[in-house]
Amino acid sequence: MMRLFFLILLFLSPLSFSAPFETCPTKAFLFQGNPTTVYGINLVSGTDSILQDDVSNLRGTSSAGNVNGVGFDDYINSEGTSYRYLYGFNTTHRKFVRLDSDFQQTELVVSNQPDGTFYVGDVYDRHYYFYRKNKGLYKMNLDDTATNYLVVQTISTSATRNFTDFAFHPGNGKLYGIDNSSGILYEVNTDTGATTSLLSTGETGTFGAGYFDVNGYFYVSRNQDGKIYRVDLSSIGSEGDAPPYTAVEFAAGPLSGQNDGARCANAPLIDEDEGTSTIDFGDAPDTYLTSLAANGARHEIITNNPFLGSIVPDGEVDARLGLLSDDVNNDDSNTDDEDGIAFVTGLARGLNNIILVTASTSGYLQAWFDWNRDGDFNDDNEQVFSDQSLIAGSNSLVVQVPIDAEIGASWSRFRFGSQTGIGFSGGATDGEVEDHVIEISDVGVSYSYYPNNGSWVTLAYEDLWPIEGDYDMNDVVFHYRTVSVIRDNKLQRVDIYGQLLAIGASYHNGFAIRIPGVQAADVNTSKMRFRYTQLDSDGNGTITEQDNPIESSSDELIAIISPDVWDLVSTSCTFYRTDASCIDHIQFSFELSLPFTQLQPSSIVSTLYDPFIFATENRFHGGTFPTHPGRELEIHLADMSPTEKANSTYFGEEQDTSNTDDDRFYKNSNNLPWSMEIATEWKHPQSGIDLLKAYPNFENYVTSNKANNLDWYQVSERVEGQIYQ
Amino acid sequence: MKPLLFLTASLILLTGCENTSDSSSSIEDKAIQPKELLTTSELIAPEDIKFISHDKIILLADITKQGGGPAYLSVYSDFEFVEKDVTKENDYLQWTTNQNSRILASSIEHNQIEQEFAIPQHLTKLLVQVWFYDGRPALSHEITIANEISIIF
Repeated sequence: MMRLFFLILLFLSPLSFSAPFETCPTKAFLFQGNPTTVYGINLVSGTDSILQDDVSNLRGTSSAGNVNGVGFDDYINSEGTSYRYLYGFNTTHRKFVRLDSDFQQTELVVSNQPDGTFYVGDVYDRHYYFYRKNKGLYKMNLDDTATNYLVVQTISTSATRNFTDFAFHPGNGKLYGIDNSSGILYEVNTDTGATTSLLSTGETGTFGAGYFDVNGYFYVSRNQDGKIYRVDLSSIGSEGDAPPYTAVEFAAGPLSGQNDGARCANAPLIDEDEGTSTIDFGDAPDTYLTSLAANGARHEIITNNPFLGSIVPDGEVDARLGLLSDDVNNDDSNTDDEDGIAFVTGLARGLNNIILVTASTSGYLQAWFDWNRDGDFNDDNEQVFSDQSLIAGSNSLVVQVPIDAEIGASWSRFRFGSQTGIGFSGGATDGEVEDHVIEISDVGVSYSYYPNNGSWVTLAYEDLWPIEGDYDMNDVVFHYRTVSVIRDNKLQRVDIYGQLLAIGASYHNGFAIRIPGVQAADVNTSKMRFRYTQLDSDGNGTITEQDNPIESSSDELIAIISPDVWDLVSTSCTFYRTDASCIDHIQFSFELSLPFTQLQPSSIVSTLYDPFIFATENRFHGGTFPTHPGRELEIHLADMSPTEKANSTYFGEEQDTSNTDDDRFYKNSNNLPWSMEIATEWKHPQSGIDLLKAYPNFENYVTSNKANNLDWYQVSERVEGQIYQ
Repeated sequence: MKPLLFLTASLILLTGCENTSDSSSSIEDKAIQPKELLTTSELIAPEDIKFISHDKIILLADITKQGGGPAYLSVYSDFEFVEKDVTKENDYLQWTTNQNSRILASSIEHNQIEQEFAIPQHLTKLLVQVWFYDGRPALSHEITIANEISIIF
C-alpha cells in the first residue's frame, strides 16, 4: 500500500507532467518580474506576447519568485526523445530550476551550489553555465546519465566583466557577452573563464537579455529602452573578419527594469515555412537595406494591422529581391500587396508633386526617396515624410522633388504603422513597408510604357530558321517591356526590361535589341545603364552592373543582352522551363537604359523596337550552314529587317521565304513566322506541344487576319495541361 | 541549291543530337493527332498579317475648360469605379487604379496634348486621368478604345 502511495505521488509530482518543448522555437524568451512573467519576443520586429504569467509556485514554497539566468537546452537523444527544457536560477528562492513547455518550474537538486544569486546563464552542449560578477563562472552537467549530473563545477572565481546576460554562438560554441559599462564585446573562455576583448560595440546600458540565432547573429535587449541591437558575429573567426563588431539597432522591444533572455540558438529568426511567417519586407535592392541580413525594413503583421492600400501584406521568410519580389514575381501564388502608393503627377524636378497614399487606418508614415540615385536613402534630403499623420482612406501628400535630383529611374520606400520615429531599416511592431520604383523627370517629358509600367509582353522564338520549327514557340522565350521617354515630341531615351522565361532547344542563341534608325554613336554611354538580376541560391535576385552592351562593330544601335542565353540560367532539366515535370523559377532579368546624346526624331519611337535572337559564335546551329553561322544568323519578328550583321545569303533557304526586295522577312510560304509578340504574360506551350493544341483559337485568329479571337492568348483561351505553368 | 538543301536536311537528321529541340516530338504529335485537328504548320496565314499583338492609338486631351495646365495625364489599363466609402472621411476618389497598369504618363504644360502610344490588342477600355499640381480636383474619363480618341474635359 505504501508503494502504491509513493507511485501516486510520483505521478502527481510536477516532474511527471513536465513536457519538454517539441520544437526549437523561433521566438526568444524574455523573463521579467517577480512573480515571473514569460514573454515571447519576435526579434525580427520587437513584438512581444505573454506566453505565461503563472509559472507556478516552486514546490515547497509559497511563491513563484523571479526566474533569471535562463538558457535553452536544444537536446534530442538518439532515440528522438526531446529533452528541450529551459534552465535557470530562481533568484527569490535561490534554487536552480528547469522549466517545461508550459513554463512550470521544477527545482533541480544541485550539488556544490555556490552561495549567492545568479542572473546570468546559458546552456550549451548539455551544460548550464552561470556567472556573477566578482564571484565566478560555473557550469553543471544536465545529462541525467552522467556521473556528475547537476554537480556544479567552478571554472573561475575571477569574474570582472559587468555582464547581465551572455549567450553561446551556435556555430563556434563560444560564449559572448557585452560589458554593460564599457559596451565592449567579450569572448569568454569556458575552460578558464578568461575573457578576450573584441572591442566596443558602440552601445552601453543594461543588456539584460542576450540571444543568438542560427546564422550567428548576437542580439541584446537593453532594459532601459527596450531596444534590441544586433551584433553580426556570423563570420567571426573566418579570414578577413575582425573586430570591432558594431551593435546595430535592430528592433524596438519591451523595456523592463529586470529581465533575462533565452533562445533556442539553432532556430532561424523567422519560421522557414513561408506560409507561417508574419513579417512583411520591402522589395528594393539590398543596397537600400531590405533583407534580414542587412537589417532591412520589416513589419510584423498582426490582427487589424495598419497597412497601405487595400491588400493585407503577406508574410515572408525574408525579403524577396528582384526576380521573386512582389513586384516582379509572376507566379500565380504571389500576392502583389504593393498597392498603397500612387504617383499621380509623376515626380518632376522642382515641382510640388502629388502622391496618393491609401491607409487602412490612421497611423504614421515615413518615406524616403533616393533622389541622387546612388542606391541608398542616406543622403540629407532623402527622408521626405517623417511621422506624417495619415487617416484611413486616401491621403493626398505633396512631395517637392529637389531641382538637382538625378533624372531617371530610382527607388522610394514607404513605412506605415502605429510607431513613430522608425528609420529606413530595422524592425517595426506593426504596419507595412512598400518599396516603389520611381521615375525622376523634368517638366515636359512623357513616358509611353508598353504594355504598361508593371507587366510584360512575351516574345516567343523558334530557332530552327530557316527550317520550319515545330511551333511549340518556346525555343527562346522572353518577357519584355519598353519605355519610350519623349520630350518635345522626340525620343530622349529608351528603357527596356526583360526576363528569360524559357529555353526549349539545345541550340545556343544570343538575344539582342536593335533600335532601328539610331546609330550606336548616338547613345550617351556615360548615362547608360545595363544590369542583370540573377537568382541566387537563397532565392534572391542579385543585381550586377554589366559592361557596355552596344555592339561596337555595328554602325546601327544594337545592344547585345547576352551572346548565349544558356549562360544565364542553370537547370537540371533537359531544357529550361518547358517541361511541366521539371520546374525552375525564372532566374534572369535585365534592365537596359539607352539615353541619347541628342533627341531622336519621332519616327524612331517604336513599341517593341527590334528584339531578335542570333546564333552563338562557334556553336553548331544546324546542318543548313557550312560552318557555324554565329552572329550572321538572326531571327527577328516577322517582317522586321535583319541587321547589318546578318548574312543575307541565308534568306530563301529551306522553308524561309524572306525577300529583301519585297521587304519580306522571316516568314515561310504559309506566311507563318519564326517568332511572335504576345501582348501579355503568356504561358508558352510545353516542349513539343503544338501551339494550336495549347491555344486552339490561334487558328481562327490567323485565318481571319486578326478580325476574330484577338484574345486567343489569354488565360481563358488556353488548354490547361498543354502549357508550362 | 536544292540538292545541297536536301543534303543539309539529311545532315540535320543525322546531327540533330546537338539540337534535341522539339522536332522529333513535333513529328510524333503530328502523327498521332486526328486529321481534323490542324497543326500550326498547316495553317495558311494572310500575306499581310502581323504576328504582333498591339495596336496604336492617338489620344488628344484638352483641358482648356478646366483652366489649362500645368497638369499631369495618365492612362491606365486596370482600374475600377468604386462607390464612396462614407466611413472614410477622406475617401474622395471614385476611381481606383492599379499603378502598375500605367500605359502613358505625360505632363500637360498648357491646354492640350496629343500622344500616340501602343496598347495590347485585347484591351477594350482605358481610364484617362488628369491631376493638377495646384490642388484642383482630379479629372477622370473612361474611354472605349478606338484608333483616335479625343477628350475634352
